[in-house]
Amino acid sequence: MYPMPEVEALTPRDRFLSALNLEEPDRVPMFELEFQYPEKITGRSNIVGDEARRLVAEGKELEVTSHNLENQIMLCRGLGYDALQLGLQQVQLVRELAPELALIGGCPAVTPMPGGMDAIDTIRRFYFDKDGLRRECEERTRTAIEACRPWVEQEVEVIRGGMDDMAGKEGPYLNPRLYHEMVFPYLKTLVDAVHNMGGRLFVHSDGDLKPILDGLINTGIDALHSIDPSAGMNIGAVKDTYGHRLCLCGNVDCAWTLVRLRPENVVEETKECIRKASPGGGHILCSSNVIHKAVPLENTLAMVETAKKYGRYPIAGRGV
Amino acid sequence: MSLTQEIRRKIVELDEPSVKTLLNQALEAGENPLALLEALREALTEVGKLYEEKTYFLSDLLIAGGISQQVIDTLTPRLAAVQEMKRGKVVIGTVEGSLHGMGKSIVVALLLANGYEVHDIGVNVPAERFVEKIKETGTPVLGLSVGLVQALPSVGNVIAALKQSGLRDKVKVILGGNAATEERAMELGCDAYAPNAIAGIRIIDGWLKKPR
Repeated sequence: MYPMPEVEALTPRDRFLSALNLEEPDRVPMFELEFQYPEKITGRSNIVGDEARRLVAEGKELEVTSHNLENQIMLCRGLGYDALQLGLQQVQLVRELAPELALIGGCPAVTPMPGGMDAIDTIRRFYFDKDGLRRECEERTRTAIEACRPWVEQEVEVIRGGMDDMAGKEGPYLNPRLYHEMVFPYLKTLVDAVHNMGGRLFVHSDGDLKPILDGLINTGIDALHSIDPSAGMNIGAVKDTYGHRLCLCGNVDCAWTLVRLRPENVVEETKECIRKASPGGGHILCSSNVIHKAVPLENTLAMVETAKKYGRYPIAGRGV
Repeated sequence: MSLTQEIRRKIVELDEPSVKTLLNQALEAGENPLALLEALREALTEVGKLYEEKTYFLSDLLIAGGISQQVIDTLTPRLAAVQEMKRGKVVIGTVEGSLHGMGKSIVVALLLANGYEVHDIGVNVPAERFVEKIKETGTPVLGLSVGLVQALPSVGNVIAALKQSGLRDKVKVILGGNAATEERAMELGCDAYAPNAIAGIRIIDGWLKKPR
């Protein structure tokens, strides 16, 4: 297994929890929803695709799962990420292998969102099939609540889900009145249920959320990922208005800076992100979506090293 | 208020069932299909304005696009003049690696409502398919949509395929979609960038100037 990282004041789990609690940890925590080239850090690829299918068919599912999990743990330790997203069946194993890490569970969305292939049909339902949609949302909400229960029982630090992408670069997919009428009430029911169980929930959405941000945050979500800068979302502005109410996860631009610019530009943008969002705590540094294959390794490393160097508390800054 | 004016109002209000009913009533009452088509265009201009004012959002545009498609489908058989009124041809598609077609669908509906002959070749379209369709239709405008940053190289592939087939100088290329920006559109060799569907229609209107 990859060696443990340098000793820091807090464990990754405590650091991550501290940010979720809107407190200042020792340094700004980091994580990624997805990291598409772990082999460049750990020296070994995840087992996926045909190879994974073949091994599963041979009854070696546990082998595949363990390999990929170990790889994720090695990745976290190698880069200094504080949390990893995993499947419910893997919680126990990861707690044994890497008790220092924070864990992120998952649950399904409480409403359909028009981000997929059936976008047009989904949108039409919000206008012309509200009764049918409400029935579906009620059922989805029940399912999501039940999906959260075992995660909370296993004491994962936070659950990601409840909603899929709600917006694109031009703004929310739906008219904001539809979010208030048909989306946020169900999300609030889920959030309340998770809180009553003793858990936490965070939502990820790309896009320009400004017209619906107030309603979204009023549902009581504990954190928001990823404050999409390519859609005009300013993490400093969100921090100023809502930083006392929820943890912000973001937002080094993986659609431009991380992909197309040089490490020195990544360093500057990471420092800027920390300056705007980290002071006072309640910030987890991530890319604005995932570390995908088009992001050069040196840019990923520049972001991580900058966070370790300039993300130590106390951090001065702020200002939009 | 005349039936035509009422239809115009109901389109702006996105009241699809009422538009359908009123349109049939208007045609039975002998209203001029050309006047109804004009009412549709006026209504869509109003919808576009509401979108730019941020009163309407993407979903409202899409619903308006769907209504306009239904109106056009109803009017077309009764309106021999529609063919003569075509303002020009546009081939449109989402580039390879980009699977979402919502933005493109809105543009298609608005192009149709604005009198264009639209050849929509779908999502995740390989570069050669765009070239084939342009050759087949003799279209002077190509609309490309790209939803994912990872699919941006596919835009460059389409431009390269156009150059290779000797069509680049004959076709204006406009780029839109979530992953598109002005800078990227220019860098990839497109002629224009459309930040949204309404802006895209205006640019194409400018390229294919023909009095309404």
